[in-house]
This record gives sequence, C-alpha cells and structure tokens, in this order.
Amino acid sequence: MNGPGLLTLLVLCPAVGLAVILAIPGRFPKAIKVASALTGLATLLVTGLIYAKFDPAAAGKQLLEQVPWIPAVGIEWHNGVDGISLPLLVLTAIVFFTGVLVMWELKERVKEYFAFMTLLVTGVFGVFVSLDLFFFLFYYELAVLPMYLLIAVWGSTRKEYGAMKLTLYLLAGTALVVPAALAVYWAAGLNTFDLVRLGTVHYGHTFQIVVYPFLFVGFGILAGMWPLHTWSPVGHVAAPTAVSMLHAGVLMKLGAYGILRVAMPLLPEGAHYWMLATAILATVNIVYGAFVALSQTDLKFVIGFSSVSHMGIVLLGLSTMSQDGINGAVFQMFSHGIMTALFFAAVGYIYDRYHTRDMTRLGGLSKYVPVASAFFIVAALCGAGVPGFASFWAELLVFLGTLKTFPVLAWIVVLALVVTMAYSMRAIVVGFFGAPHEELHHPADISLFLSLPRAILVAVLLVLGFYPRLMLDIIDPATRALIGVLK
Amino acid sequence: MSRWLALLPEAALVVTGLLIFAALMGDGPNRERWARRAAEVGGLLVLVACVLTLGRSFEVFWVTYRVDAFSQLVKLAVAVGFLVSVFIVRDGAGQRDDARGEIFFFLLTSASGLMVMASAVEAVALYLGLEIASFSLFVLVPLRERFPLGREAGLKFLVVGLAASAVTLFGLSLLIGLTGTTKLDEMAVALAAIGSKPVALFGLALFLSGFLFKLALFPFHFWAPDVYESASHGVAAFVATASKVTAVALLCRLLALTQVTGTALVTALALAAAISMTLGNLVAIVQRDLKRMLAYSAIAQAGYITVGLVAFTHDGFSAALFYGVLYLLMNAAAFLVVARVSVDGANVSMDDLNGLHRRSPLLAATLLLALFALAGVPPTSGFIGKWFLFRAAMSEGWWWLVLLGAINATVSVYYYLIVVKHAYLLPAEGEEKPVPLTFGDKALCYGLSAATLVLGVWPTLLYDWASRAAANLP
Repeated sequence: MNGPGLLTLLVLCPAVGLAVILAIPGRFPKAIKVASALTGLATLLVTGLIYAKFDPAAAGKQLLEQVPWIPAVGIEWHNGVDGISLPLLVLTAIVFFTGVLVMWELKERVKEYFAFMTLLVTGVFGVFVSLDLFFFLFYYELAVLPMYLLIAVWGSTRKEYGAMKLTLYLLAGTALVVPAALAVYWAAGLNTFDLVRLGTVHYGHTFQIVVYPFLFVGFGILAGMWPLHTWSPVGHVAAPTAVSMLHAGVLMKLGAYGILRVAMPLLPEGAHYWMLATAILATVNIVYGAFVALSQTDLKFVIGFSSVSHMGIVLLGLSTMSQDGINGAVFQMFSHGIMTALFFAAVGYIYDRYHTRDMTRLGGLSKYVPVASAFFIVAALCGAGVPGFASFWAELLVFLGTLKTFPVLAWIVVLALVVTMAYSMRAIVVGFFGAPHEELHHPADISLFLSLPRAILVAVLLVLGFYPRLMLDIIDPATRALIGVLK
Repeated sequence: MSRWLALLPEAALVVTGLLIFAALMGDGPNRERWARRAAEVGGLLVLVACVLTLGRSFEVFWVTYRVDAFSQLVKLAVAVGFLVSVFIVRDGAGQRDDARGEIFFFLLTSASGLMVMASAVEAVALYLGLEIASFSLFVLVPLRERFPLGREAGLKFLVVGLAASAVTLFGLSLLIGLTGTTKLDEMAVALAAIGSKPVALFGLALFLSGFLFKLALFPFHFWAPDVYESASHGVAAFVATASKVTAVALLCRLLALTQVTGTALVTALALAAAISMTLGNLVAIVQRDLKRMLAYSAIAQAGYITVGLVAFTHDGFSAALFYGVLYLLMNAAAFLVVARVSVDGANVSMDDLNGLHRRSPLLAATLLLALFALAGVPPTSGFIGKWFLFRAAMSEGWWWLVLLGAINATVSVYYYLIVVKHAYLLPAEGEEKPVPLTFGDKALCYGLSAATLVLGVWPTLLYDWASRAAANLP
C-alpha cells in the first residue's frame, strides 16, 4: 500500500487549476488565461517528473498508489502507470498546454471556457492513471460531459446538433460499458474493482465471448469505430479549435485505451474470439474514412474523417494482438494525437482569419501566410505517413503486425494509404497552392506567439520521426507484458 | 431518563408545531411572516435535534416505535427536506392568499407523519404515519392560486391516494390475519415459517402499493405530473424530496419482511421498474414545463431505485436508501432554482430559463449540477448512486434491467441537456433581468451543490450509514 504521490498530484493539477479559475472574477480574462496556461505548464512539469522517475526496463505498473476509498464495495484510489499510459499522459499534457495557448485570443465567456476545459483534462488524466475500474469509468464519463457545453457554446457550424450527437453517442458507449464492468466484477467475486486483481481471474469462456463485445463496442464508440463513428466528424467540425484538438487528439484515445486496459487484459479469450471481426471493422474504418475524406471540401471535415481513418489503424493494431501491432497502435495513439492537434490548430488560425474552411474558396495561401500554411502542410504530410514524422513508424509497425496476422487486410490497408496520400495532397494543393482567389482578403501571417504552440507540436512529431525509440523503448516492455496475458 | 433523549426530534416537531400554531392564531398583517419564521426556526431545531440524537438506539411504546440507524437516517433526510421546502416556499408566492401561512403548518404535519413512519416497527402505527403524511398533502396541493388545473390535480391526488391507501389497508389486514401479529419483526418470523404462499405475497404486494404510490412508480405514477405542475413550488419540492426518501426507506423495510426471491412479486417489481424508467424518460423529453419534466424524471428515478430494490439483498437495500438521500439533495437543488427563477410563483417553462447564466451564474451552475446528478454524470453524486444500484442488481443477475437502466440514463441526458441548453446557450428575450437572491438562497445553492459534489466523490460515510441502516431490517 503506497500513499498518494506524483500521479495523484497530476490529477489534482487541473482540478486545482479549475478551482483557481472559478475563484478569479470573470472580468479579468487575462488572469484566467494566465492561470490556465500555468495549469498546463504544471501538468507538463509533473508529467516530466513522472517520465523521469519511470523505469522503462521494468515491465508492469509503476509509481503505484493505493488507498482504500469505499471498502464496503471494493473501490480503491489506485493509480499506476506503465509504458502504455505514460505516452498518453505526455500527449495529454502537451495538447492541453498548446490548446490553452491556441485559444489565447478567445473573447467570449473566457472564464467558463477554461473552467470546462480544465475539468475535461482532469477526467482525461484520471482515466490514464487509474487502475480501479470504478474510478476509470468515473473519469471516463467526467471527460465526456464538459464537451457538450464546450461545443454548444463556443463552437461553429451546426454546433448544437453536433454537441448533442457527440454527447449521446459517447454516453451510449458507457451505457454498454457499465453493465459489462459490473458483470466482470461479480464474475470475479473478489469484491474489488482493482483492475490488476480482476486481471488475475480466469473468466468462463462463454462469459468472455458474450461480455467482450459490450466492452469493445462501448469503448470503440469513443475511438470512432465504424459504423458508430458519425458523431466524430460532426463533433470535430462544430467544436472550437482547442476542443477539437483535445477531442480528436486525446479523447478519442480514451476509447482505444479502454479496450487496451480493460477489455483485452480482463477478457483475453473474448478478444481472441472476436479478433477477426474487430480487425475487419477496423479495416472498414481505415478505407471508409479515407474515401470520405477524399470527397470533402471543408478542411475540418477532411481532418475529421482522416481521424476516423487513423483511429482505424489503432483499432487494427489492437486487433492483431501481436507485439508489433500493439506497439504500433500505442505509438499511433500518441503520434495521431499530436498530429491531429496540429491539424486543428492550423485550420483554427485559417478559419479565424479567413472565416471559411472551404478549400475551394481558399487557394494560394502559402504565398500570403507561409508560416500558417506550413503548419497545415506538415500535419498533412505526417497524416499521409511520410517518413521523418512519428506517424510513419506507427503505421509501419501496425502494417507489419497485420501482415503476419491478417495478410489480406494488410494489403487492403496499404491501398487505403494511397487514398490517404491523395486526400492529403488534394487539401494541400487546392487550399494552399494553386491560384489565389480574387475576392479573398489576406491577413497578416501568424504571430510569433501564436505559432509557438503549433511549433511545439511540429517539434514533437519531428523528434519522434527521427528517433522513435524515445517512445518505443517505453512502450515495448509494457506491450510485451500485455501479450503475455493475452496468450 | 436520558434514553428518552432519543426522541428529541419528535419533541422538536411538537415545539415547532406549537410555534407555527401560535403564529397563525393572530390575524395581523404579519401573520404569514411569523409563521414562516416559526417554521424556519423550528425546522432548524428539528434538524439539530436529529443530529444530536445520532448514534442512540431506543425502543418505546411497547416496542412499536424504534430509534436506530435506519430511522435516524430517514429523519435527518426528512428534516433537511422540510427545511429546504420551507425555504423554497418563502412568502408563499403562488399559494392562495388566505392559506399562505397554513402551508407551513401542513408541511410540518406531513413531515411528522413521515418521521413516524421512519420509526414505526408496527404495522398499524406505520399506516397511521402514512395517512398523516398523505392527508396533509391532500390539503396543500389544491391550494394553488390562479391555476385552474390545480383543482383537477388535487382531486386526482386525493382519489388515487385514497385508493392506494385502501388497498394498503386491505393488504395489511391480510398480513395481520395470516400472521396473527402487527409487529413487523414478529411478522417477518411468521412469514418465514409460512413460506412464499400466494396469499402472503398477495398481502405484501397490496401493502406495498401505498408506498409505491408515494414513490410514483409505474403504475402508481398518474398523479405525479399533475401534482408537480399544479402545486406551488414549495409543496411540490416537499412531495419530491422528503416524501420520496421516506417511501424508499419504507419499501426497503417492507420488502425485507420476507424472502421473496424468484416469486411473481419480484418479476412484477422488475417489470414496473423497467416500464417506469422507460416511460418516465421518454415522456419527459417532450415536456416544456420544468416541473412537469421533473415529475416524469421522478418517475424514471423511481424506476432506478426499484432496480436496486429487486436485488432483495442487503446491498440492494443499502444502495436504495443511499440513493434516496442523494436524490433528495439533487432534487431539492433543482426545485430551489425553479422557485427562484419563477416570477411571483408562476410555473417555469424552458424558455423562462433562457440567459440564466448571465442573469444569475450561481443559479445556472446549481441547476447544471443538479441536472447532471439526476442524469448520473460524474463528479456529481448521481453517478455513484446509480453505480451502487446497478451493482446490487447485477449481483442477482438482473443484467437486462441494468442494461436497460444504463440506456435509460443515456436517454435522460438528452432532455436534461436541453434544459442546460436553455440556461447556458440561448439568450433571454428582451432585456436580461438579474434574478435577485438573498443571502440564504446563495448559502443553500452552495450547500446543496457542495453536497452533490462531495457525496459524488467521497460517499463512504453516508454509504456506510445506509449500509448499517439496512443491516437489521425490518
């Protein structure tokens, strides 16, 4: 039994930040923004400390904290990180901090905006550190709900519809997960929601086969699983910039993480039984998302459907249940998070200044706002899987894993990657090169301050593109341990 | 002698009754104000008395009246519900002019009935408590001013209530005839010997109906929407909070009378829970009047609570009791917002909430938390409450009921979010008039919101208490 430590501190950081933001009167928007940025910085610092203390060589959960919470029903305050959750913590901290900076020009209802945003981030950190099934789902739902207000109040394009659709879809997912989680709890009969101890129990074969789809589909909705993905592009398009960043960048990872942390280790036989079905669904995700993205003209819709396609790669990696596949999936969760955040940040600036995101009405942007355009182009290249960016390695690993397990699907995915290249190039060529539109009024290029958050994201993508071992060395021991459980 | 101190809450009730009565004796212009002061001070006294007597246990009046963890939990909840309702009534806006003072007296008598029910361990005493609690409300509901529908609602409440009461009495007589005793614990022993004979189950089912009526569970729910809509805000708040939590508690006590697992009674309750959840949530979607929506939401909530009850385990009864108390707090917060947004006691429609986040950020935030709690979203108490209910039901294999409950909770998010949309998103028509709040209003908003949040994250003490209360039923 260890008392609270760094991980509790990490969850408390945004919670305290929230309290500070609530305490500052709304007529000081600048102070609220500074407080939010400091909160972001604090989470970055604590994540850095966790990274420094983490021992990559040792598999298993580290920095464990375990305090009884409601002993009568077996709920504990139980936290820990391993090589799967640590990259996601880093991701969340980066996206949160850059997200605050991106929204620096926000003028409308500043206090409420940053309050809801820090609440959302509290939930996300909580999910990634929690090893207690109750708290896992507690934080999971906590992260979903502020989204409604964030999108409905500060969003654009059909925002109320998008916000409601997103919220209901995601909560429908938890409606499947909660009964399944309780079923696992009673089947184990240990009167504990401790994920580690629940993972030591062998559940009946039929039980696993019946319950696994509930968990997979329930979490899969948040991961943008076809055909239950439709909330995702609509929601991303409606959301304000930083919320799109957090949502596509981090929140969708919660779904995949739930499959990885809850569904697969608890019910390995169920995962084996359904693996072909989930792999086919994931492949449909990849192909379908890519083709739909090819036909969009709104840049945010292009990114939205590209997210569906890229999350398909994560789900496919998980479905292979192989070392390479899962390594690639976790790495893809990280790099896709950074990449999408950059995507939305880049489009956010363009939409703020040009008041349109329709690529056919833009054109020749790279001539007038070269730096702002460069951010989008980098993200698009990364999305297309060009070597030199983090996504390349992630997609390569998933491809290798799939090639061994499902060779046919692997070749379909390769063909889909060509389409990915096509829609990325189309967005770049139509929107940023080509003839500039006459009636377009060009603003000044992005300021140094506003390019800072975007530059951070580009730097992360490049560093990991050239030196992926920085992440993979952490991920690999953890997935090795997971594979051991799955066998 | 010090044992008798366990009856301090009841003594405080008597004192409060006398105070209000004395205030109403005068006929000066300040008659209502004095009655209100008396009710507030008295309510506070009762609350303090409830807190002071915690931990005592006592049996009195030839073992018909018992003070224990169970009764103390319910009494404390009723005291909170009474005090909040009195506070919501304020100057009795919306109540008929000549009855603005009387409202406090009848709320008090109803609260006394509820407290008697909490302690009664003898069937006839229990029935008397039920009648005292109900008759006071029968009087209060139709006394609404300028609201023609009020009479119809009052009549409906009276007729359905009396019918339920008659059925309850018949069930009671069957049980007494079968077991030869009126004491609940002796009855439990006798029923165990009889086993699950149809006549015993039939008697118990009929006996339950009076309490299911108070809980507004399908098919006993018809009165709820009309009464919520037609009664003045304070009265509706009392019906929705104190009265509900007592009904939940008494259902726990009566269901613990005999081992009924696997009988038709359980199936019937499970079906009632399923229909209640689904019906309540679906009909709530189309409501435009906020209180009417809360009524349908209450029908759905009654369904969730029954999901915990059908487990028929100690866990299930603890979870139901626990959720009853949480429900009281969140619902009280919702009604407080309704009453304060309302102009001159009129009903509040969705559109009246427009722009609330500007007119009163505190009320908007209180409403947001209350609705999220009703929907069962963390970090509010609704999430953990439903978690315990579903956990208990799942242990007995009620997976379809749990799944249906979880899906229903998702459906309910839709109409709660529509209210949130009106409060946070839509601008008010015309100029935005700030909602005036007194110091007490603000304190109550903060208090109820804090309770909803704290109990949502750290419910350990309250849940352990509920668990102890459910340990030695009936």
